[in-house]
Amino acid sequence: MAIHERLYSRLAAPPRSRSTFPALAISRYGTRYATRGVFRKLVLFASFAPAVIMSFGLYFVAQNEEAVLRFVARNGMGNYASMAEVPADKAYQSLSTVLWMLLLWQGWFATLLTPLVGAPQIADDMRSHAFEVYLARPISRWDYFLGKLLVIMRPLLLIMGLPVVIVLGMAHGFLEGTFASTWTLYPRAFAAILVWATVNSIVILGISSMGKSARYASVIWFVVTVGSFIVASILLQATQNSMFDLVSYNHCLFSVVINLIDLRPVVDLDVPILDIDRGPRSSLLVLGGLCLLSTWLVMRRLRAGRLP
Amino acid sequence: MSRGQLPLAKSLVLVAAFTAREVSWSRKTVFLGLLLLIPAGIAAVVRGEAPPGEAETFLAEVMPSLVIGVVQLMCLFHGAGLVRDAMEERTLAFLLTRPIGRARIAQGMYLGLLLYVLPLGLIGAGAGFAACRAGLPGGMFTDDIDGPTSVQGLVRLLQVTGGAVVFYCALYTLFGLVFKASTIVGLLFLMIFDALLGSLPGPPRMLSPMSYFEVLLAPHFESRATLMREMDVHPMESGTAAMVLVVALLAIMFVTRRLARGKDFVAFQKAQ
Amino acid sequence: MSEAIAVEDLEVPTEPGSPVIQARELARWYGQVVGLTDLTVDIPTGITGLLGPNGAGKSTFMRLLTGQLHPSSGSVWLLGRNPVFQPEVFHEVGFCSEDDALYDDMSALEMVTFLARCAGFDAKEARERSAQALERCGMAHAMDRRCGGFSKGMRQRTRIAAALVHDPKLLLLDEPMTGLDPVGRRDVVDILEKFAAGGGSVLFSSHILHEVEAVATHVAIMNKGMLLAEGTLGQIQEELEDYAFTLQVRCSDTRALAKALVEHEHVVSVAFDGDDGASIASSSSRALTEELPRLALALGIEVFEFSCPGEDLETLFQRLMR
Repeated sequence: MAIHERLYSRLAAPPRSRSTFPALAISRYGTRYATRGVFRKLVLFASFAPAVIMSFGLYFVAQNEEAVLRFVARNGMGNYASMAEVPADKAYQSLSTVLWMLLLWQGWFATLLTPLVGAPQIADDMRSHAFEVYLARPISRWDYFLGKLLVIMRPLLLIMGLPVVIVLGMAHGFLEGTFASTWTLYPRAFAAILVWATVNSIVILGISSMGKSARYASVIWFVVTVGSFIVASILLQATQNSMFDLVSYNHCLFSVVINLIDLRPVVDLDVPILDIDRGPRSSLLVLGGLCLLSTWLVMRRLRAGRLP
Repeated sequence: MSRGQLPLAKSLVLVAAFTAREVSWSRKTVFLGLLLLIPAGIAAVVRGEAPPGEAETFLAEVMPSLVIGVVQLMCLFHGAGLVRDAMEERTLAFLLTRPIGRARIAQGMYLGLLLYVLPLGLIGAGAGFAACRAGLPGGMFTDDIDGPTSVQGLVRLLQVTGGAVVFYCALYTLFGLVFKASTIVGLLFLMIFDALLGSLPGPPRMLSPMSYFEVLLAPHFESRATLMREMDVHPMESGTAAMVLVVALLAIMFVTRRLARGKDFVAFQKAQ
Repeated sequence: MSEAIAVEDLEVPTEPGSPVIQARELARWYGQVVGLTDLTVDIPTGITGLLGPNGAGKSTFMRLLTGQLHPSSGSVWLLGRNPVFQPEVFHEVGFCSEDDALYDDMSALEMVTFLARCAGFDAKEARERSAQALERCGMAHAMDRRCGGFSKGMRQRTRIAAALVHDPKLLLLDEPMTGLDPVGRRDVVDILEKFAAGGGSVLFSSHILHEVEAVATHVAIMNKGMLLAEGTLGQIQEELEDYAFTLQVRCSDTRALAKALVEHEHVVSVAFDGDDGASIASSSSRALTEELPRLALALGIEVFEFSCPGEDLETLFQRLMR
């Protein structure tokens, strides 16, 4: 049975026999097909590479405690005889830096996976006329929007959340005594990942609703993310004005995530373009505006009579 | 009426003209127009915000590569979907069932894409150059900054931009023939080979087509050349870079031709 | 795909009266799915209907004929030439696909004119021919409108006009009646008949059996990627006389008749239906229809009624599909 036939039979059942919300039904069936294909599987698989590499790195750290303690001393963080003696705040700083580096990598994988999964969501529905069939079902526009959002968020949460669990888990396993002072990184990291995945999903849905071609939606996504990153980098370097940080979609996301995980880097991260002390308010405004615009674009498309 | 295939020139002209019309007659053109204005927009902002005297030098270092980068994105935007869209929309069957060879269809579509993208690329390059230099005390073509004369710099920029359009349109048209997810593959190529490898010093740069275009720009953009000398242990000569690009282009066109003859030009819908 | 194509695969000699389409052991598979298998057929001049249920391989065959797909094995020739490596054959071949594809941003006249130019005509002649072709297909009133605004039937007519514009000798039509109302279908049938009367040949695929029966002189029936039968209706009927079928009979003594029939090896089974009826399954309709009256006469049994398998295309089709 084709996906739509299964979905229709589910959604067309009398209300008393429906056990799931329509949005969940849409997301469940959509996710099954959204991650098909060699390319998507490749990206999903490759996205765990940074976590694996970092885990080995942490293992190395645990096995070479002396070398690490010498490094800590060289960077002016204090002289300690063992890892257990490292103060809680220093441990937090170190792990939050590791987490930040991991999230940077996972963020780029998310930037790659988002159009692969998200660009066809609405564009292909319009192209294949499945749109009309959805709208002829007893589901609201918000059900459809939420369902599609969940389709995109699921794999994003997977590729960002699971590596975080792996790395933090390895860190706490290898580095004894660090859990008590750093357990708050888990909820903070998940909050950051949730924001990241949600914003990515809403924006790509908005872009996908702009036309019938998933291909061009992918290009627009890369212009918005990677293109704005490059433009912002150039402007920041030329003008030394941190206001231009806001031109970059990814910088705005980074700023929000940094504040959510309360990043206090112990070493120079060599990110001269990122103003950590600025605070997330302006970035939240930019991202919020983008999300509102994207939601408006989707709702506009879903409104009856606005089919292409 | 000829009983053989349509003559080469006629078939190429027909398909190219048709493709140029189809490509230009769409809403995507508006988006491309905005893309082209990015280098000029950046130049205007930098000149307004940067400390005096530094803007022009900075722009001389960055602008040429930025123009080539935007042009590459334009070529990707249209080239990767050129053949693939026709296959998926099933309109390619109209051309396949005419007395025009498959290789000529692919070549004609490529030429049509060039007809459209090349003028836009040159306009974008010119606009970027003008935005960098408009209002300078010595006039737009002053020799005070960069290069023997900046007229030569503009000419070289336009030549290299044109060459980049020809090269990248061919490359992304080939991607469209080979890959289903041609746009994503093209974007990955751009990010890995040009953005990542192209910014690394030493041998990895040789895998980046962009680095060869930068070599071609270097003679007339001194500050850009200085940057490159810092990155390359053995800087390449312009002639060598040009030769490498020409050979690569010929190879791409040869492969495109061979693939067009052997490929199944039917795109099957993905299972939903 | 290998480029080493044997010379004999490129062209076959054609004489007047030779088949317009030849396929030899033609096969095409898509990964694990078989689209066509071991198809060998000669399509003669005249109008040939290609019949088969969904998934039979008709569209795959059409795509192989028009060079859109390469065969996985075997060879195919249109008017004696290979459609992939000798595109000049399309001077004489017109194709209308089943896909609802048009250049939506162009008007019907612009689109057909462009395709006429691609067939080798100069601009002026192409435009004149296009107007005539569109008029022939009932699109005179809408030829200057954008194709994107057409109804399904108008789109189909435009595609047929594009196939006819260069006066081909052979027309290949994949489901040409799709989307047309009864009047439109009648018009298409008229076009095909006039085309054939003018010396052209047609191969068209369809599900509408009575229309195929009405217009086609030859029929090719496919199922599951294989050619089941090919020829005129009479030829196919004769072939099927040695095929299995079931006969219903009402007579005065069904038990005696059944007892006598089961001794014959071609009778597979006999099922009683009430007091005076029976269903007799046989592996050979010819043998049973010869044997039944002889036995009834010899045993003194009165036969009230029996139903023979029909000779119309629908019955033939259903028998072949079983």
